[in-house]
Amino acid sequence: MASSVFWEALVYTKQRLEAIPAIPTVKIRKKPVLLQEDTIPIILVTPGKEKVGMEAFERVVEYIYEIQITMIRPGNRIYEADVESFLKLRQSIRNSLYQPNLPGADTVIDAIIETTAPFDVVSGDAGNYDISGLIIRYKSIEERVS
Amino acid sequence: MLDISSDYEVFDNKENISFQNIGENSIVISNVIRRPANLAFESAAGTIMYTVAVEFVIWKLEAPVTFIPKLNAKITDNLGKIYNVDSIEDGVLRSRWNVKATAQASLGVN
Repeated sequence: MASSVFWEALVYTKQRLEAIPAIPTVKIRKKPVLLQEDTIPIILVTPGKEKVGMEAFERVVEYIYEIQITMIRPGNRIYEADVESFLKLRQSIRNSLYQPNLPGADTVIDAIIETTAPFDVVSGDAGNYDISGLIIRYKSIEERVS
Repeated sequence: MLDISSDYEVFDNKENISFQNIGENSIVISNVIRRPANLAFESAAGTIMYTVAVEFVIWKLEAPVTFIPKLNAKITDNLGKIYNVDSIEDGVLRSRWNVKATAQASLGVN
């Protein structure tokens, strides 16, 4: 049995990210969890919600697969450096992912991107990390079972 | 006979730290006591992060007279691990500052 569309979307999203010059390590995980063993910066690719979009005759249906991209970098209370370079990297990531199709995942026909703030507000014991998120929703045209 | 005259050196585990407020020179403070560190997972910005929290007890008499610890200051311990100050407990008549700090990203704990 072939892999699921969701898994293919995760794998080929990771491949697209890894093709960007100077990109940090990219890992597919169940959830966006930073482990003690991880080296940062790191990018986590994780599955999110799955929704039904448009429906049509002949059992055609549009499924929407949500993938969360989480970028984790050391911030260490330095608030004025690195803003320009990170925004540039983030733009490269957005441009790389925001494309009408996804080679490898043949049923995908479109994608929508939503970003969080480039530097999410984090306080307390996690305050030394810079965290930035991006959600990509792939539209996939598939056939219903019945 | 058991000699306990220096027991605090064992049980309190005093250490020297380097303390640097933002925009100021670094100073060395002796006889600082480190409370047990707390290594834990914490949810932040939709992500689960591992974090290290630690508390240093700094005796006011060990610091220069004009010194005042400030938030976000950088603390470097003997092993070179760096922490940032999150909160400071102080009082006019208190003999010490209780300084709670977080290890810099991914540095872990000693």
